[in-house]
Amino acid sequence: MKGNCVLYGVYVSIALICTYLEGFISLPFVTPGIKLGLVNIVILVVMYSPGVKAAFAVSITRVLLVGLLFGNGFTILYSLSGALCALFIMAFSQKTNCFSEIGISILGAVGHNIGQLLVAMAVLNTVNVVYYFVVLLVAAIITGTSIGVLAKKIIPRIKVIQERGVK
Amino acid sequence: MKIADKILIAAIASLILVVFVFIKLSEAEAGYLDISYDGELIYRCKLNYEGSFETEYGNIIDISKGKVSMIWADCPDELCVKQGVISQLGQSIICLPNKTVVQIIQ
Repeated sequence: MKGNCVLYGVYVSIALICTYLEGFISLPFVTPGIKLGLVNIVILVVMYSPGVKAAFAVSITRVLLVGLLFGNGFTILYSLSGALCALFIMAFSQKTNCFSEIGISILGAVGHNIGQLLVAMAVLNTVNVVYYFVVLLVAAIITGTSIGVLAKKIIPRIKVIQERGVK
Repeated sequence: MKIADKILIAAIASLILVVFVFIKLSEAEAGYLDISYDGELIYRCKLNYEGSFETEYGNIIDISKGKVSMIWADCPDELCVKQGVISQLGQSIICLPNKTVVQIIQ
Protein backbone atom coordinates (compact mmCIF):
# COMPACT_ATOMS: atom_id res chain seq x y z
CA MET A 1 0.00 0.00 0.00
CA LYS A 2 2.88 2.35 0.79
CA GLY A 3 4.49 1.95 -2.60
CA ASN A 4 1.28 2.86 -4.35
CA CYS A 5 0.97 6.23 -2.64
CA VAL A 6 1.83 8.14 -5.81
CA LEU A 7 -0.57 6.08 -7.88
CA TYR A 8 -3.40 6.70 -5.41
CA GLY A 9 -2.58 10.40 -5.44
CA VAL A 10 -2.90 10.43 -9.22
CA TYR A 11 -6.22 8.63 -9.06
CA VAL A 12 -7.57 11.01 -6.41
CA SER A 13 -6.56 14.01 -8.50
CA ILE A 14 -8.17 12.55 -11.63
CA ALA A 15 -11.32 11.95 -9.60
CA LEU A 16 -11.24 15.56 -8.38
CA ILE A 17 -10.88 16.84 -11.93
CA CYS A 18 -13.78 14.63 -13.03
CA THR A 19 -15.98 16.12 -10.31
CA TYR A 20 -14.93 19.62 -11.37
CA LEU A 21 -15.55 18.94 -15.07
CA GLU A 22 -18.93 17.45 -14.33
CA GLY A 23 -20.02 20.82 -12.99
CA PHE A 24 -19.79 22.18 -16.54
CA ILE A 25 -21.86 19.43 -18.12
CA SER A 26 -25.56 20.11 -17.89
CA LEU A 27 -27.79 17.23 -18.88
CA PRO A 28 -30.73 18.15 -21.14
CA PHE A 29 -33.43 16.90 -18.78
CA VAL A 30 -32.21 18.62 -15.68
CA THR A 31 -33.76 17.27 -12.54
CA PRO A 32 -31.85 18.02 -9.35
CA GLY A 33 -29.67 15.13 -8.30
CA ILE A 34 -29.14 13.64 -11.75
CA LYS A 35 -25.47 13.47 -12.55
CA LEU A 36 -23.36 11.78 -15.17
CA GLY A 37 -21.09 10.26 -12.54
CA LEU A 38 -17.77 10.61 -14.37
CA VAL A 39 -15.97 9.91 -11.10
CA ASN A 40 -17.29 6.39 -11.22
CA ILE A 41 -14.94 5.65 -14.13
CA VAL A 42 -11.99 6.33 -11.84
CA ILE A 43 -13.48 4.30 -9.01
CA LEU A 44 -14.18 1.38 -11.38
CA VAL A 45 -10.64 1.47 -12.76
CA VAL A 46 -9.19 1.52 -9.24
CA MET A 47 -11.47 -1.33 -8.22
CA TYR A 48 -10.20 -3.49 -11.05
CA SER A 49 -6.49 -2.80 -10.96
CA PRO A 50 -5.22 -1.94 -7.45
CA GLY A 51 -8.30 -3.41 -5.75
CA VAL A 52 -11.37 -2.76 -3.64
CA LYS A 53 -9.51 -1.34 -0.62
CA ALA A 54 -7.82 1.21 -2.84
CA ALA A 55 -11.18 2.14 -4.33
CA PHE A 56 -12.53 2.82 -0.84
CA ALA A 57 -9.49 4.95 0.01
CA VAL A 58 -9.62 6.97 -3.23
CA SER A 59 -13.37 7.48 -3.06
CA ILE A 60 -13.50 8.64 0.56
CA THR A 61 -10.50 10.94 0.09
CA ARG A 62 -12.14 12.40 -2.98
CA VAL A 63 -15.46 13.00 -1.18
CA LEU A 64 -13.74 14.74 1.73
CA LEU A 65 -11.60 16.88 -0.57
CA VAL A 66 -14.52 17.88 -2.81
CA GLY A 67 -16.58 18.68 0.30
CA LEU A 68 -13.83 20.88 1.74
CA LEU A 69 -13.11 22.61 -1.58
CA PHE A 70 -16.58 23.21 -3.02
CA GLY A 71 -19.11 22.29 -0.36
CA ASN A 72 -19.82 22.21 3.33
CA GLY A 73 -20.38 19.65 6.06
CA PHE A 74 -23.83 18.96 4.77
CA THR A 75 -22.79 18.15 1.20
CA ILE A 76 -20.05 15.91 2.61
CA LEU A 77 -22.70 13.96 4.49
CA TYR A 78 -24.76 13.53 1.31
CA SER A 79 -21.93 12.49 -0.96
CA LEU A 80 -20.25 10.33 1.67
CA SER A 81 -23.36 8.24 2.26
CA GLY A 82 -23.90 7.98 -1.50
CA ALA A 83 -20.29 7.03 -2.18
CA LEU A 84 -20.11 4.48 0.64
CA CYS A 85 -23.40 2.87 -0.35
CA ALA A 86 -22.24 2.67 -3.97
CA LEU A 87 -18.85 1.25 -2.97
CA PHE A 88 -20.32 -1.49 -0.80
CA ILE A 89 -22.74 -2.53 -3.53
CA MET A 90 -20.06 -2.38 -6.23
CA ALA A 91 -17.53 -4.31 -4.15
CA PHE A 92 -20.09 -6.99 -3.39
CA SER A 93 -21.24 -7.29 -7.01
CA GLN A 94 -17.63 -7.53 -8.18
CA LYS A 95 -17.03 -10.36 -5.71
CA THR A 96 -19.97 -12.35 -7.05
CA ASN A 97 -18.21 -12.31 -10.42
CA CYS A 98 -21.36 -12.41 -12.52
CA PHE A 99 -21.50 -8.77 -13.57
CA SER A 100 -19.32 -7.04 -16.13
CA GLU A 101 -18.12 -3.45 -15.69
CA ILE A 102 -21.43 -2.21 -17.09
CA GLY A 103 -23.54 -4.00 -14.48
CA ILE A 104 -21.26 -2.89 -11.66
CA SER A 105 -21.41 0.67 -12.94
CA ILE A 106 -25.21 0.66 -12.99
CA LEU A 107 -25.28 -0.83 -9.49
CA GLY A 108 -22.88 1.89 -8.40
CA ALA A 109 -25.18 4.57 -9.77
CA VAL A 110 -28.17 2.99 -8.03
CA GLY A 111 -26.13 2.73 -4.83
CA HIS A 112 -25.36 6.44 -4.99
CA ASN A 113 -29.05 7.18 -5.32
CA ILE A 114 -29.98 4.93 -2.40
CA GLY A 115 -27.34 6.40 -0.10
CA GLN A 116 -28.26 10.00 -0.87
CA LEU A 117 -31.99 9.41 -0.67
CA LEU A 118 -31.56 7.75 2.74
CA VAL A 119 -29.89 10.91 4.00
CA ALA A 120 -32.59 13.03 2.34
CA MET A 121 -35.24 10.95 4.10
CA ALA A 122 -33.53 11.38 7.45
CA VAL A 123 -33.02 15.12 6.97
CA LEU A 124 -36.43 15.95 5.53
CA ASN A 125 -38.11 13.44 7.83
CA THR A 126 -40.35 12.14 5.06
CA VAL A 127 -40.77 9.00 2.99
CA ASN A 128 -42.16 10.83 -0.04
CA VAL A 129 -38.73 11.04 -1.68
CA VAL A 130 -39.22 7.38 -2.59
CA TYR A 131 -41.18 8.57 -5.63
CA TYR A 132 -38.18 10.58 -6.67
CA PHE A 133 -36.12 7.39 -6.54
CA VAL A 134 -37.94 6.16 -9.67
CA VAL A 135 -36.78 9.19 -11.65
CA LEU A 136 -33.26 8.64 -10.40
CA LEU A 137 -33.42 4.94 -11.37
CA VAL A 138 -34.17 5.87 -14.99
CA ALA A 139 -31.15 8.15 -14.95
CA ALA A 140 -29.05 5.47 -13.25
CA ILE A 141 -29.63 2.98 -16.07
CA ILE A 142 -28.61 5.50 -18.74
CA THR A 143 -25.61 7.06 -17.00
CA GLY A 144 -24.54 3.78 -15.43
CA THR A 145 -24.46 2.03 -18.80
CA SER A 146 -22.53 4.80 -20.54
CA ILE A 147 -19.99 5.04 -17.70
CA GLY A 148 -19.71 1.25 -17.65
CA VAL A 149 -19.00 1.09 -21.39
CA LEU A 150 -16.29 3.72 -20.99
CA ALA A 151 -14.76 1.91 -18.04
CA LYS A 152 -14.76 -1.34 -19.99
CA LYS A 153 -12.67 0.34 -22.69
CA ILE A 154 -10.31 2.01 -20.25
CA ILE A 155 -9.61 -0.77 -17.74
CA PRO A 156 -7.66 -3.15 -20.08
CA ARG A 157 -5.51 -0.27 -21.32
CA ILE A 158 -4.66 0.87 -17.78
CA LYS A 159 -3.76 -2.72 -16.89
CA VAL A 160 -1.31 -2.89 -19.81
CA ILE A 161 0.38 0.30 -18.63
CA GLN A 162 0.66 -1.00 -15.08
CA GLU A 163 2.15 -4.31 -16.17
CA ARG A 164 4.74 -2.52 -18.26
CA GLY A 165 5.57 -0.35 -15.28
CA VAL A 166 6.22 -3.41 -13.12
CA LYS A 167 8.60 -4.88 -15.69
CA MET B 1 -21.99 -7.36 -21.48
CA LYS B 2 -22.76 -10.45 -19.45
CA ILE B 3 -26.18 -12.04 -19.02
CA ALA B 4 -26.38 -10.81 -15.42
CA ASP B 5 -26.02 -7.23 -16.69
CA LYS B 6 -28.97 -7.63 -19.00
CA ILE B 7 -31.02 -9.20 -16.21
CA LEU B 8 -30.07 -6.29 -13.96
CA ILE B 9 -31.18 -3.70 -16.51
CA ALA B 10 -34.41 -5.59 -17.14
CA ALA B 11 -35.06 -5.87 -13.39
CA ILE B 12 -34.52 -2.15 -12.78
CA ALA B 13 -36.63 -1.24 -15.83
CA SER B 14 -39.51 -3.43 -14.64
CA LEU B 15 -39.21 -2.00 -11.11
CA ILE B 16 -39.52 1.50 -12.60
CA LEU B 17 -42.57 0.41 -14.57
CA VAL B 18 -44.26 -1.17 -11.56
CA VAL B 19 -43.69 1.85 -9.31
CA PHE B 20 -44.81 4.19 -12.10
CA VAL B 21 -48.05 2.28 -12.59
CA PHE B 22 -48.56 2.14 -8.82
CA ILE B 23 -48.14 5.92 -8.53
CA LYS B 24 -50.55 6.50 -11.42
CA LEU B 25 -53.17 4.25 -9.83
CA SER B 26 -52.87 5.74 -6.38
CA GLU B 27 -53.14 9.24 -7.86
CA ALA B 28 -56.40 8.33 -9.56
CA GLU B 29 -57.84 6.87 -6.36
CA ALA B 30 -56.99 9.64 -3.94
CA GLY B 31 -59.64 12.21 -4.79
CA TYR B 32 -62.10 14.42 -2.99
CA LEU B 33 -65.79 14.25 -2.46
CA ASP B 34 -67.82 17.39 -3.08
CA ILE B 35 -71.36 17.86 -1.82
CA SER B 36 -73.14 20.90 -3.17
CA TYR B 37 -76.61 22.39 -2.79
CA ASP B 38 -78.11 24.52 -5.55
CA GLY B 39 -74.68 24.86 -7.16
CA GLU B 40 -72.94 25.94 -3.97
CA LEU B 41 -70.35 23.79 -2.25
CA ILE B 42 -71.49 22.88 1.24
CA TYR B 43 -69.11 20.10 2.17
CA ARG B 44 -65.79 18.72 0.90
CA CYS B 45 -63.80 15.81 2.26
CA LYS B 46 -61.16 13.36 1.14
CA LEU B 47 -62.42 10.18 -0.44
CA ASN B 48 -60.62 8.11 2.20
CA TYR B 49 -62.74 9.73 4.94
CA GLU B 50 -64.77 7.28 6.98
CA GLY B 51 -68.22 8.21 8.20
CA SER B 52 -71.44 9.89 7.15
CA PHE B 53 -72.63 13.43 6.57
CA GLU B 54 -76.11 14.83 6.95
CA THR B 55 -77.08 17.86 4.89
CA GLU B 56 -79.52 20.51 6.08
CA TYR B 57 -81.70 19.75 3.09
CA GLY B 58 -82.65 16.19 3.88
CA ASN B 59 -79.94 13.78 2.72
CA ILE B 60 -77.47 11.50 4.48
CA ILE B 61 -74.34 10.50 2.58
CA ASP B 62 -72.19 7.63 3.71
CA ILE B 63 -68.47 7.36 2.89
CA SER B 64 -66.51 4.24 3.66
CA LYS B 65 -63.43 2.65 2.05
CA GLY B 66 -63.56 5.11 -0.86
CA LYS B 67 -67.16 4.17 -1.67
CA VAL B 68 -69.85 6.83 -1.49
CA SER B 69 -73.58 6.27 -1.27
CA MET B 70 -76.72 8.17 -0.38
CA ILE B 71 -78.20 6.20 2.48
CA TRP B 72 -81.21 8.34 3.27
CA ALA B 73 -83.25 11.04 1.56
CA ASP B 74 -86.46 12.74 2.53
CA CYS B 75 -87.56 13.15 -1.08
CA PRO B 76 -90.51 11.11 -2.40
CA ASP B 77 -88.80 9.24 -5.24
CA GLU B 78 -85.49 8.35 -3.46
CA LEU B 79 -83.80 7.84 -6.83
CA CYS B 80 -80.49 8.93 -5.33
CA VAL B 81 -80.67 6.21 -2.67
CA LYS B 82 -81.50 3.60 -5.31
CA GLN B 83 -78.50 4.65 -7.41
CA GLY B 84 -76.23 2.84 -5.02
CA VAL B 85 -72.49 3.21 -4.66
CA ILE B 86 -70.05 5.45 -6.55
CA SER B 87 -66.26 5.29 -6.24
CA GLN B 88 -64.69 6.43 -9.53
CA LEU B 89 -63.48 9.86 -10.49
CA GLY B 90 -66.21 11.96 -12.12
CA GLN B 91 -69.13 9.86 -10.89
CA SER B 92 -71.96 11.62 -9.11
CA ILE B 93 -75.18 11.09 -7.21
CA ILE B 94 -77.82 13.71 -7.79
CA CYS B 95 -80.90 14.29 -5.67
CA LEU B 96 -83.01 16.60 -7.80
CA PRO B 97 -85.84 17.37 -5.36
CA ASN B 98 -83.31 18.54 -2.76
CA LYS B 99 -81.02 20.22 -5.37
CA THR B 100 -78.14 18.23 -3.88
CA VAL B 101 -75.20 16.93 -5.94
CA VAL B 102 -72.56 14.53 -4.61
CA GLN B 103 -69.56 14.25 -6.91
CA ILE B 104 -66.13 12.65 -6.81
CA ILE B 105 -63.48 15.06 -8.06
CA GLN B 106 -59.71 14.96 -8.29
